[in-house]
Amino acid sequence: MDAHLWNKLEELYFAVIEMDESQRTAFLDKACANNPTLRHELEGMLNADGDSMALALENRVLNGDSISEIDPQKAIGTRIGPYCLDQLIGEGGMGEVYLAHRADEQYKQKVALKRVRPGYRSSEMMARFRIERQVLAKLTHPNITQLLDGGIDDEGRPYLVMQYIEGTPITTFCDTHRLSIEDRIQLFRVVCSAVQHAHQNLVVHRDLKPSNILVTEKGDVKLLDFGIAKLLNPEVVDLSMPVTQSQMRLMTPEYAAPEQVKGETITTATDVYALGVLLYELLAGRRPYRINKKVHAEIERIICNENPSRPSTALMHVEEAEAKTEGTAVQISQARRTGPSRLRKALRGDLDNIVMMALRKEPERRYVSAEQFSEDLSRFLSGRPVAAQKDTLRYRIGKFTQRNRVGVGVSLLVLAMAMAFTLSTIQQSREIAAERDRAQIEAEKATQVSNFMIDLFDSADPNQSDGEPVTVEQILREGAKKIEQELAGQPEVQADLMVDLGRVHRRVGLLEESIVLFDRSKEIRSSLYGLNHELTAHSMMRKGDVLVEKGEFKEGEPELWQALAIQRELLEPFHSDLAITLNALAFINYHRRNLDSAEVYMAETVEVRRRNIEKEEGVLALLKDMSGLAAIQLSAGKDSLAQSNLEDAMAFADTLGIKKHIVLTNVLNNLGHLKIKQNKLDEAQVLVQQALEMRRDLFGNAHPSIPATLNNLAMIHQKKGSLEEAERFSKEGLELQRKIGGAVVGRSLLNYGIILADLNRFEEAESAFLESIQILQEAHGATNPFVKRTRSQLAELYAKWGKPELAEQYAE
Amino acid sequence: MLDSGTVTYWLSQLRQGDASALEQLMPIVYDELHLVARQRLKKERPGHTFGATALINEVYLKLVDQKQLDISDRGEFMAIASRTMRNILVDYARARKRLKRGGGIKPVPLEDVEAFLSEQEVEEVLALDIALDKLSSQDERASKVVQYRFFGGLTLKETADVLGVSQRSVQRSWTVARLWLRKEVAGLIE
Repeated sequence: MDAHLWNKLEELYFAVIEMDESQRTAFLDKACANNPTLRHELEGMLNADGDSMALALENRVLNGDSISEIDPQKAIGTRIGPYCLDQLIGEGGMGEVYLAHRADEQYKQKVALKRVRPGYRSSEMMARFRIERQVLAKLTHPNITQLLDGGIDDEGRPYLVMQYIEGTPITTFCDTHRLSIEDRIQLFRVVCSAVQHAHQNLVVHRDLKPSNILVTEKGDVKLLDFGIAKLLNPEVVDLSMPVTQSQMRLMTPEYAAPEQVKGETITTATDVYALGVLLYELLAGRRPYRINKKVHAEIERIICNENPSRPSTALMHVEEAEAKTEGTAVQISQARRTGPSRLRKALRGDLDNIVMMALRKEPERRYVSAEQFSEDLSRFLSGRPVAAQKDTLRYRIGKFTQRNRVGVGVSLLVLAMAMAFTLSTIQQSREIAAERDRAQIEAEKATQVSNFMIDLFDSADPNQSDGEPVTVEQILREGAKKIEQELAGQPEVQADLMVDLGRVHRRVGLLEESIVLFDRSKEIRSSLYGLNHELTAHSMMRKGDVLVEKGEFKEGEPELWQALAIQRELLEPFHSDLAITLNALAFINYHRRNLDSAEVYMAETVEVRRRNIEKEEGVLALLKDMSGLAAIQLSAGKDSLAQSNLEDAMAFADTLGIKKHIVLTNVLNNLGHLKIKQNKLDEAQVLVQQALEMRRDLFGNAHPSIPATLNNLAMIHQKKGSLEEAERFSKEGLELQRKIGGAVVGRSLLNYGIILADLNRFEEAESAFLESIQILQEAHGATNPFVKRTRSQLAELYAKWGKPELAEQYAE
Repeated sequence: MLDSGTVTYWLSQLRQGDASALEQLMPIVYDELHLVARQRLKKERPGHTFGATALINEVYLKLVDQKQLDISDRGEFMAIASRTMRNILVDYARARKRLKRGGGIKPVPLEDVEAFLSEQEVEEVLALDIALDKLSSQDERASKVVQYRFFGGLTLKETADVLGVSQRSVQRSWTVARLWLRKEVAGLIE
């Protein structure tokens, strides 16, 4: 193939895609008459068109071009296909809407032309577009705007041409014409019938709202944009995709159903919900929810969790700000040719129930169809009993426990019922089948996990455990037992869950139990995958790490060595697991005072952490290990290295906006320590003071780190020669330490005594040293270095005090 | 950390026609992209966009001293970066295949989303590399368009600017080339 052929290929491709399937063969026969290669290439390409043919890689890239590239105003006056753009009449997340007319016709019939924003994967879009266009073209109903035309413009952007409707939003129309409640319901029922027609053709609107439901001056209702939401923005409605902020903006939050906000399956029930919101607004003059902030989490919370007031009460509950925009209860009533109390009375009861039924959170509990919704309203108008009943509390609670299990299944039933009315195209049903399969897999997975959790908590129910309150420990133990017994048939899953649960045990301090779990997972994995496997190594690493935390270095070390050997062989050089193994090994060596080895391991840990900062808690882990590395270097006397690591850590925390954190206090404290060594006492004082305040904020006064920090502060003042200050801090530290208890009190006493001796407060110093010796000796024995040090301090004191014999007695 | 001056310097050399500058630039960009890609790609789930644009922009901001750089160098840089991204992915895919054959290791579980390419994608990257070479022998521009857009995440406009052609012709090349590549890749993988 040469360049000429390529150009030909391009030309023919763009000609062919504009044609219907039926015309294509004949066209290709003619165009490629004496060029079989060209035909072969072209057919291959046409076969590759469509979503299902996309490379897996394509889903990863191409988020779309930046929208700012295009200025919609510039397009005015230009032509799109045979249409001339006259005026920009709308602009949304999905694209722009222009008022346009056919350039090649005598009379200027006004049409609305919608252009899709650039940046969608265009060839898939074209394929989807063709299918959808066929469906929408068939959607003919007096109350639905007709799709007239559509195509793909020169820039490769799809466009749609619709009837242009001059009308006002249904809510405005009702108010300006002061339609009574009854008339409003009648008009609303027309909307229902149009929606029902679309549903029977398997088209869900997805974005019903007043601005899409216009009423002409003659009083004809016209629904705009049927199916357009999906057509123009397939991503928004994709199953099980988290809804992003930008997608959120595409929805009209007040009219969005819970399943839309949550990014779940959208069905005809979604439209029923939006119809419910519309009826609410038509009747009560207000919307069920007030959404002021366009923050997704907030919108989701309101729509999925809050229960709206019933229309009859909403009418009266009005705040001043709303009264301004929506009108007061009197104004609203007047627009309905009645007074507030009569309006409220009219809404109370059946109409409340009907609206609330359409607004239920669970799609399967709403009206099954727009038709049924409409019929219930007809029953109301003719005074017959309505189907909608009050949503009882008991029902809601009962439902809550089941909700996870039902979910998708029932809403699919609704879809299936809509389907029963229709003859769909093959492609359509295929698409739906694929949706259903995906939904089912998701649902099954979710059920498995949630069943496990439910079982776990069921057994933790006090009613099932003889009324005794259940502790976290019990739940965890129960969970471990269940994993052991019930998942024996799925060893892979079993081992995975054991690791997860082991980590939870560790986190709540059940170290022994977590070791057992890690050990079991190691056993299972080594029989599944062999010893030389990254998962087996992972279990070993976890086990070794907890053993080290317990101080059982001898048992932990071989696990870690083995894990490290496997990880080095099989994992990428900076795999995050390596940090855990290396960190534990560094810790062992630090405790054994093999500072060189400790430093090497810790330095590598830091390197690995650095490359994994995107992971959960990655930043804090990095900070912690940077500080740990510095601590090792400080112990090894490598002060300048330590200092640069600490300063790096500080700068790093600063750029990340970490203002207060336990790790940061360690960094500050270590840096302070370093400054003391360098005799930069003022700098040291600032740092340690900062650490102290941060620790007090974080833990309160009773935390063991507070007296230690106070001690450091005392030491700084002592070195600076401000002995009174030093005494004050030291004393405060000692008092706190006494409250906390432990042999550390002995060390606090030693420090306090030294300062007292400097102050020539001999008696007090003597009793401090004596008490210190007593405590330390009791805890650590007479040969403990701190005992020795206190004794020599005491000897010095006696010498200074002029008691040489006593000094003699305590000197070595 | 790399000295941003270096990259800026070589970019300006490149613009002044120093061909050796490219050889100087490629390894630097490769290393940095590799690092950033590893950090970022790991956390992405399969099926999501790996945001080539964001990735390359990040490297660009890291490597290039904006104050000294001519705007047109940005396109140049992006072009180099997209070629580099392609190399990285191909290298990675090859490594994965070697690893799989040699070690007989089970596929990496989803929970450690270490593998930023799925099995399928590994195959695709390798096939795409071959197909792109083939395409470039037929239509150099189309192959560049794909490379810039696909591996570099350049927008239509950026691609058009770098190649010095209209956006419309970029769009056309892009549409056709992608379908053609799908076809080729499918043929190679089977």
